[in-house]
Amino acid sequence: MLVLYLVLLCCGALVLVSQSVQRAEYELAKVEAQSLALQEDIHVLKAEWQYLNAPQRLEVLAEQHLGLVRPDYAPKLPPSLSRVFVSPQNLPSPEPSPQKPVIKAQSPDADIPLNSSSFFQPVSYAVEGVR
Amino acid sequence: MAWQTLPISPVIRIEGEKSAAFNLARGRLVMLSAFFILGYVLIAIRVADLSLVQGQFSHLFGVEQLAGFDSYAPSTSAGAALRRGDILDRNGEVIATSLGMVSLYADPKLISDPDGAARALAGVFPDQSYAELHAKLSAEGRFVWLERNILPEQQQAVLAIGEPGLGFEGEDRRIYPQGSLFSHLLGYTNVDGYGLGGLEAGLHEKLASGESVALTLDLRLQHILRREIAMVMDEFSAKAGAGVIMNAKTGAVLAGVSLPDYDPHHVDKAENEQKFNRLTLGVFEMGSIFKIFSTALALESGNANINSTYDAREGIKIGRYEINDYHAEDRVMSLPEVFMHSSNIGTVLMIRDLGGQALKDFYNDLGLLTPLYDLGISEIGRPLSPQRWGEIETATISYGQGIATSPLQVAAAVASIVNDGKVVRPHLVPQETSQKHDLAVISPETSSVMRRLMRLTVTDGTGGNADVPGYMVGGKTGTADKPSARGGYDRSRRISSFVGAFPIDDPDYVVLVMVDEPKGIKKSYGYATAGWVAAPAAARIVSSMASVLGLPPQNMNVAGAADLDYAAPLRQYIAAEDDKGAR
Repeated sequence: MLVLYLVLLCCGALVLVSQSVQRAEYELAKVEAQSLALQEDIHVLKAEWQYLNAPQRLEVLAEQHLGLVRPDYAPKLPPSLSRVFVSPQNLPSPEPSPQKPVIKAQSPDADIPLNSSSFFQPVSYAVEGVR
Repeated sequence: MAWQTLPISPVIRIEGEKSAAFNLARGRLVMLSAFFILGYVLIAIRVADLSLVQGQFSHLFGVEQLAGFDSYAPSTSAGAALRRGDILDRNGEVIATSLGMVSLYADPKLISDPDGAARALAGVFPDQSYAELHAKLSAEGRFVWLERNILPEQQQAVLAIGEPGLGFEGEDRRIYPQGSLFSHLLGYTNVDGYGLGGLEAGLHEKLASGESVALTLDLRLQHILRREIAMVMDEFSAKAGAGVIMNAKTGAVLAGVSLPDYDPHHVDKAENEQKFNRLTLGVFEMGSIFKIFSTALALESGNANINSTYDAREGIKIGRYEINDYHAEDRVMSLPEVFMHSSNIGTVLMIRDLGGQALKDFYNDLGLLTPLYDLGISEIGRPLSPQRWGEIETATISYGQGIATSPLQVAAAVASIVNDGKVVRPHLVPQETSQKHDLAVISPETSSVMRRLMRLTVTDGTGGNADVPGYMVGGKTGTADKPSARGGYDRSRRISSFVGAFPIDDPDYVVLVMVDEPKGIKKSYGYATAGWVAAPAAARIVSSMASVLGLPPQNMNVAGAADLDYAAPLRQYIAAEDDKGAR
């Protein structure tokens, strides 16, 4: 009889253990499945976040709602024209130097100081001519 | 009867020689019945467990039904492990990813009512006609795709039709959250997720194994570059454009744009013109930008120094050709002036004595003559250069005509020049081992002179519109006539480009802008040259880069700021020469 009781006891214990193991397995599978589903959600949300944060979209929104504007660059004079606008130290001095004959505006035939640095000449004439 | 007289007892005892055998048999019988009893008990317990414990009283244990698992499983559970990897930019921003979607298929054999099903499906998918659907539903075979990547509402509507022959299959679809921003470099995949162009094809094996790949590209810089090139193309009614921002020290491509581009989600709708990658596949004659390389070789070889002078008063006649200047200065110029005014004549004179082979070897060292096959994408153009580098070929190549390279190659070669002469190789995927190329094409001293010349070009020369106060941009413009269909060159169709590096005293970034066939406008006084088209765009790019990357400007209004003027020695030198000439 004792053997029979022991057997029944063992059976009962086995049932309990197997029940708790199954329960734990269910829980595990459930959590794993949930985790996968959440990972999938995160994946989708990340893509959506990137879409909503695409710089071309943010830029439009910033202009519309924050009043932000992009700096404007006005181009300078064309490089090939810039040669007449020389750097300041190359501009002729406003004070006539004593050696140089002063050109009189009314006498176009007067001696012109020849300046071999050729392309500055038109400017120097203009300046001296005004004096 | 004899047997009645036998004593009856509950246990039959057999004595004698047979008793041992009998006991053995009885023991076996008991064992066997005990085994069966135990078996039946276990089965009974299991039955009670399944029917009572798990069935009736499951709520007492809080155990979910097995069937409940399915609702948690993602639709693509089988493919989840094999999902194509994401492509990230250098800061981990996702620029290509795959999302699980549902596709609709039919098993024509199981379709009970093709007419009704086709009519109902045509209502759900307006882009498919009834006839089309009907043909598919009544086709032979057991499988036919009806619509790939459908919306959840469409799936619901299809379920409502209740046709047993319709089924759904979870599929991944490639998504590019920034749309066409990276289209030429990233490429695209087909509907089955197979990489067909750009990095999607180049990195296909890695991505298909589920690995994510981070690139050298920067999402923010890519946007800046694309925006500015699109703007300058629009402003000058240009046909196309391309540009690159590169790390000058490593060759890492931070941004690369080719316009027009296409929507990678709808590649089938893109024209060939849109699909053509001008940055890496297209090869162009880039023009005066090549004077950077020619001048560097002339300086490095010792054949020229900044005191060298060149008579640019008359064109050079070689055979039946005559080489002239576009920005004609008609005078004897020093080397810095030749560079800043982009004189063809001066550059040809500089290179003439060195010979074609020296120039060819130098260009080869700079990587200008070999395709960039190690970039990681298949759209790589093969540079075009003459078989024989004779006198006239060498002369024109020295100022960038008669040699066609991809804009990316030119940017990399310029990076090599400003990076103390150490050759950099452009790359899109970070290199695992820091591939330090010890090959130096020019000495650090020559590189320093080149950087000063490039700065001078921006402060005083053709690249004036590329200047960004505080960021010391140095660079070179290039305006090249395009080869005409009739042979020779077409002066009305040009490629206008600018390559810059900043900060020029120790450059971190190289920026290249190329605009194809710009037309002169009022704002540019009718000019469509590089100084008017590409240089201002480069300035806007540098300025935007500075704010995005948080680069502080150098204050040019403080005492000692003159020392920061990198081109000052050259400018003083030119001024002194002019004074000498004046005396």
